[in-house]
Amino acid sequence: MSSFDPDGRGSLDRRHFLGGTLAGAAALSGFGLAGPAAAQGAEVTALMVNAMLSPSLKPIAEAEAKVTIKEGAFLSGTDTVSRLTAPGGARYDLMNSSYAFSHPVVMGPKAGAERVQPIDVSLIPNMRFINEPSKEGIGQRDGKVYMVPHSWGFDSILYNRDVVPDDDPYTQSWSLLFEDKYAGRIGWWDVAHQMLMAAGLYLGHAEPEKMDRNQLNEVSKFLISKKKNVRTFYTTFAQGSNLLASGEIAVGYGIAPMRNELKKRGFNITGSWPKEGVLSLISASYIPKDSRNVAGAHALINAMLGERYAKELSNGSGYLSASTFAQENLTPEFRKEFGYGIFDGSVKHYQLKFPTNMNMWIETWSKVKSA
Amino acid sequence: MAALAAGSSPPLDVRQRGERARRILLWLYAGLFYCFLYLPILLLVVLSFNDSQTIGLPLQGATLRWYREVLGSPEMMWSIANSFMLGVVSAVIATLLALLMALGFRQEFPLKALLMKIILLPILIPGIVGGVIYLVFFGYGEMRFGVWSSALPVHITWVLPFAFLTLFPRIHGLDRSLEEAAADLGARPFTVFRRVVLPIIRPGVVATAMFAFTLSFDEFIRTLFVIGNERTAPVHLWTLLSDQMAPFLPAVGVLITVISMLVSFVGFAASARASRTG
Repeated sequence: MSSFDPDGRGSLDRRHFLGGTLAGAAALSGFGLAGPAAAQGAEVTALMVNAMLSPSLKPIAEAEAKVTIKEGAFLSGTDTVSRLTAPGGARYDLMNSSYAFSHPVVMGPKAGAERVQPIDVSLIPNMRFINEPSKEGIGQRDGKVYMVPHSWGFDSILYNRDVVPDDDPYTQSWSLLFEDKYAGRIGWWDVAHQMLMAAGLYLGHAEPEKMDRNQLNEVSKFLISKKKNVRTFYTTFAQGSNLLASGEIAVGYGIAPMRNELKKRGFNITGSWPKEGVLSLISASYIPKDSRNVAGAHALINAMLGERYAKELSNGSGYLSASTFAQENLTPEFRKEFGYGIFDGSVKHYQLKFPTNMNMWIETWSKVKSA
Repeated sequence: MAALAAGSSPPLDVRQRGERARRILLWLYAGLFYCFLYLPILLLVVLSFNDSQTIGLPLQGATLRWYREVLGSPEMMWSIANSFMLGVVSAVIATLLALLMALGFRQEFPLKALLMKIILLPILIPGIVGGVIYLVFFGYGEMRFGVWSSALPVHITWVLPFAFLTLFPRIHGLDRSLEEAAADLGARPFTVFRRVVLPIIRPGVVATAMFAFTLSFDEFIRTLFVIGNERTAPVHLWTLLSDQMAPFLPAVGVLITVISMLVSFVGFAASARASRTG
């Protein structure tokens, strides 16, 4: 029978192949586990918006804090706080997410229920450079600090200046994103929280995060009536930016880093300053209870409020630094372009607060999408 | 009767025309089918050389810069390497386990049907639910998150049912009289497996391993929950998509496709060679 293999060559090959593969994988795993950042000393594992550790920012933060940063894959603020509360602990030395959104979870309902450890402010000398508006993002209880503001982000409407003139009155409000004038050339961000906040503000709700079911129904009716103007929904930075850059849409909901990158890449796209206010958020850092490098986490918070990092943050990511260093040497033109008017009151903003009933918001947005 | 039969069948040229039309339609259908299948891949390759800041047409010149950017990024290369190693190890382990289970499932034993359903359960659980389950499970187990500590078991669990489903019919349909004949000739069970069963099922085993590799290499949502600070290629791509325009994405897509194809070619070549030598 020919299947009998007297010298066993076939199975020998297979054994060698499998054995070699396993041995190779095991040998390589020694490197693979660590990755490129493992060459330096004290490591801080961090979970924050990836743009905050962009190629121009991460080296500064590492050099100033004298640590190696190993960042996790940031998915969303919701995911970040979910990980903080996950069984087995957060498994990060440092985390960073929207203050207003994360505060209830991070701080817990009462003293002693905090899910993070107190921050030793004596180890963060750069805290004294936090600008006045950003101090709102300091999370404290009973004299202890748990959250330290680091930067600001803001969302507004991005538009293609070749299609939408700057002096078009529509650019002065969120109407640009909803009304019929640019029908068929509008893109909506596929996120319940942001889109319903923007629509709520536009429809005149003073505190849209507190909208009840009836008010949310009105908002959904309005959005459904305007859905005919929408060319597409998008879910990621890359999708939205490419749609705008390629001209497939001329108007879209956009976050500050999108605006920054599109400009840097030379596209004639800018962001509006709607009279109802851009949707702003303060990003705050906190140290989970199971942090294994508490000293490194403190050093990193300090570095990210330091002069070098603060001065590069807007250029490197589009975010606004909470440090007073950031605006030093910035011309008024750049100050305006980056959105620092939020701090002096020349740009109206409204914080993206956590809705009173997020489930209801998600249900409302699903209704809009499926209509 | 003959006149009636002759009258009811169409003339020869009409039948020939009908046959020709049928063949043209078949070619057209097959052509459209293959275009639908392969044109997007071809477009991806073309776009990967497009000297444009946006992903899409029109073409604005040819460039290798996106490949330089991808190959020059240590993070990207490490994430691809992690995916590759994870894919290989998951495929080997899952195929081995699936093989043992498929051999075991040839026998009758109590609760066999129930056990079969349990094995197939991971296919039925949505990815995001699976991710949360693993997050909680590893959390309570206080296991370290990483490529080998948590992502590997997750990948094996994910690809195992597929590997089993691919291998089981092959082994189930094996003519057991061959094994009995070998046993009659004095071969011990392991020798029977090594010299009779394995050579016959080897192409199936290789195909299963390739399939398992591809599934693992592409896995995103479950991995995202348990990978910790490390990155596989899909996880790294997600982070890029969430904070960059990433005009180099088509180049990444081409590289990943090439890796998958190379692994398949190596597998099938090894299988073909083994069949020849066997």
